[in-house]
Amino acid sequence: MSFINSFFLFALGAAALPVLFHLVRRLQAKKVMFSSLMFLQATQKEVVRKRRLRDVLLMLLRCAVFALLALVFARPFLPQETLPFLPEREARSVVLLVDQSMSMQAGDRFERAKQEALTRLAEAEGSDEFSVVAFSDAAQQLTPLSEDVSLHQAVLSSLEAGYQPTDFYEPLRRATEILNDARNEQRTIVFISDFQQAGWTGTLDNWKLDPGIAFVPVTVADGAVANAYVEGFAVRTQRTGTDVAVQFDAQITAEGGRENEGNTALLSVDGAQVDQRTLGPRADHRLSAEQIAPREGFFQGELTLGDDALTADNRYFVTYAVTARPSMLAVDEGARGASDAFFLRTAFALGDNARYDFAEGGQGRLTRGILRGYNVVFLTAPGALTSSQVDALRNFMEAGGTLVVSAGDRPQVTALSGLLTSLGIGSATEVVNARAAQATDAIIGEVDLRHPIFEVFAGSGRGAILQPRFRRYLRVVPDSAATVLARYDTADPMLLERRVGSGKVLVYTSTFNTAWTDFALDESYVPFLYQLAKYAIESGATRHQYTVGEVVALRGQPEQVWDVRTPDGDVFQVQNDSTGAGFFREAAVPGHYVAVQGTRRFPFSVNVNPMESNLEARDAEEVYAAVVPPSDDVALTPEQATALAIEDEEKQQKLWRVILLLILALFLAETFLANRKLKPQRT
Amino acid sequence: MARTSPVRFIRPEVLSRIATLEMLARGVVEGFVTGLHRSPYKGFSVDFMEYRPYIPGDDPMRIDWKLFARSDRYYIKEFEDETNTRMHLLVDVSRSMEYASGEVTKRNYAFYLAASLAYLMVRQRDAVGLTLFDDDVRRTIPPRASKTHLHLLLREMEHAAPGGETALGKPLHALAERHRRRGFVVLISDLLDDSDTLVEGLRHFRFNGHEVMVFHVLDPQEIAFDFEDMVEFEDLETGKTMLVEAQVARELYQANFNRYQAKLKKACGLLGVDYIPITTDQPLDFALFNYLAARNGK
Repeated sequence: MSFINSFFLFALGAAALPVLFHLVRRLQAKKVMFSSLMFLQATQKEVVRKRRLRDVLLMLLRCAVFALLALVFARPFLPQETLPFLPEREARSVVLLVDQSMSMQAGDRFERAKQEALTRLAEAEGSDEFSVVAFSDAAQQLTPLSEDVSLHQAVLSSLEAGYQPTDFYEPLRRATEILNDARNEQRTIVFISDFQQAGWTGTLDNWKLDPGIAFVPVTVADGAVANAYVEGFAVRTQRTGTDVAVQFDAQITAEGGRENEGNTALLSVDGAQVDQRTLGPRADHRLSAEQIAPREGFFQGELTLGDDALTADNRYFVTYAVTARPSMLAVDEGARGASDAFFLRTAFALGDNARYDFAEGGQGRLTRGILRGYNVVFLTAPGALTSSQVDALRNFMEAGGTLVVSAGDRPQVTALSGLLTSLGIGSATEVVNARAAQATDAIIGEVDLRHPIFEVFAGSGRGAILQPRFRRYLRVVPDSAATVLARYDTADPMLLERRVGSGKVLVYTSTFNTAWTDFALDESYVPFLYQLAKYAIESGATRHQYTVGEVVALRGQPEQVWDVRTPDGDVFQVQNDSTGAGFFREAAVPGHYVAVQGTRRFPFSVNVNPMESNLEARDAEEVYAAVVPPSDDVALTPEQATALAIEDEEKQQKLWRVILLLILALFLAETFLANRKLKPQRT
Repeated sequence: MARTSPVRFIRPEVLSRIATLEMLARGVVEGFVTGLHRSPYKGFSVDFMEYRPYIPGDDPMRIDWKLFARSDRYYIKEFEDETNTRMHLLVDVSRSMEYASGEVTKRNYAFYLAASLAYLMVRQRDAVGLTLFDDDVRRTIPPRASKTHLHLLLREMEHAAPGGETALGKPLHALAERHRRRGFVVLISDLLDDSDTLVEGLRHFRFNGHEVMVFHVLDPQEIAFDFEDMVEFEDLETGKTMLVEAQVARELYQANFNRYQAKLKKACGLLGVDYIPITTDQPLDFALFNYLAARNGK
């Protein structure tokens, strides 16, 4: 006889209770003082013997009732000799998916995950084959499918949790691929993870496990844990006269409520403390600080939080640059009188208080060497450019510069179209006389107010940008890769944009002066220009902040080598290609990095993905339901199949009903016997 | 042990119930108050002699106000100053009377009953005496009618020492010889003795012309015998023990007891003795009330 709930068999011990009571009652014979024994007669030995026999019978009946009750709850069944319902234990092919993302560093999750994997390996029998796959946002097969358990164990033992975020799609897809080549029919994925909510990407919504593969989710999450982390950090520099103010703005999230109360956040730059805050009981905290940059150059700092369950995300590293005043160059061949360059100079060249260094010149300045010294180049009324000038401009943009092209009031349409075509932003077709075409001047009819250039015109100032009138403009047919940021009411583009390398090109289809438009006289003109400049410079700024696993682009001399020093002290070499582009792909550890190429130095910081710091998790049942298709064809693990078969067999036999009836009969017998009077003595 | 009031046996609720009834003597004790018991003024003492008109100088306390209410005249109810009725209270103080399945022992219950009767008698200016006995007479106080005497009786009951075994024959015969003047004899006992011996003793009293009442004091368990399982019983008087299967023995015990009680009852009936079984869980006043009502009906 076997049992489904065998732990109820421990209740068989209750069958000893009647024996215990029986012995206690026998030991404690009642003694009563009575007025007289004259009406009594001592009980005959035969009656006493009968009584003892009855007591023993009652005791046995009661013991049997208790024992049978325990049996009922244990749900017994009789296994068939042939065991047709129990699947044969076949050889299995098992992929052990072990989560080594950063969230697994919380507490002892990763150690438990390894232990779970080792336990599965220890259950290996016969021709069982295993493969170990470690994953975070990518999956890596560490061992091929093999029966070499010692190899799997050795690999597992050396495994450590990393800093990468989680993506559950990749490991599941990889495991399925591996099992497609498995030699055993029984195929199982053992998925060991904390099942962090952030790891369930949208890709999994439309993905289900192949039928025929059994799925065993094993969670090592340990409920809600307190964890504070930096969800976002922004550094902005603002030039005011000769000073540069550096503004720090950090968003700190403290999961776990009051457990984080009293935790501290310390911001330091180059080893000097900038600010310190104590966290309250709330989940969201904001730390804002400002300092005047003591010099120009690179700065490295960090925001440090107190210890909690997950220490890997308690330091946020930051690198930023305080640079000299951004510079812009206006290239205007016809820079005389009220030329485009004149209006640009008037707007930007403001002496010591100017936000930008402004210069102007002819097309002869369009060389790589000269352009390298500028952030923004305004190319107004361009004539025909040489190929080297075009290359210089492209190189300028690929290095992060922004080129702003305007038609000018004497455009060479063909040459301009050639330039725009070579830059991949579109083609110029003709100069449009709006008044002739539609009897009125054109105005801006459609504008993307969410774009940084136009965002200042959103809200109450929205009407301002619609005031300028455009008598003429250059009709540009945009390339499919270009983005039109604003159109005239004639539907022709007014401002277009396209990224080129790290920089971009913007095309303004009218004039910066008053030849074709009164825009330059409008109140919205200067704000428009400054927004344009700000956007051009900020979006071309070099990034210094990366997240773990991200590829860091390093631009430098072609074919030259960068030495990149990691926070661990390791040095990686990155070679630039023929265009001067190099890519560092080893940003696996959070911290401060420095890339050096000759005299060039490029510091940057790498941080963990804040999504990974959110330890909210799904439970194993949810994971199973999310991954396994809702079908009867779903493959079961041998353990699941056996359990299911046993349950079915038990339901068919329904032995518990028979036992229950037996209990009822015994109970009736006990009642009868207990109330049956022994034959009284007669005097 | 703290000394308690000698009147602790008299519970006010007992007296308030008894005092509303007329206790009628069933027989006429030699030479006294003949014919007065059938007075038309029910509710008055059985022992008053006559009414006479009030004359100045009489104690106003003696005016019968109820009669005044009916006749609009002042009458004085004159009692026999000296006792005419003698009551002998014979209380069993043997060890078997110490038994109690509840809070009240049979001995205490017997004292309650004796005290109640004594008080009632003295209130009616009848003489009451007390005899404590077990297998012999332990203490005898002759009948008197004064309140001082009542206090003496009550104090005697309170300080009565525990007795020995029950043997009703010897003390009853001795007392019958001692109290030759006819009167009431009230025997309060659990009667745990040979019934023939008891009947002989009662017969001796009747032979001397006494009116006899027997209060058979029982504990409820002595009737129900509601024990279970194997019980080792120890006799309170002899210390002997007996192992008994209670459920088996119950029927036999009750049969023996009922046979004994029936025999007593029958013998008492033949002798003209009132036999009143009473259990210690019965309200004392209730028991007395029922008895007196029965007497009134005769």
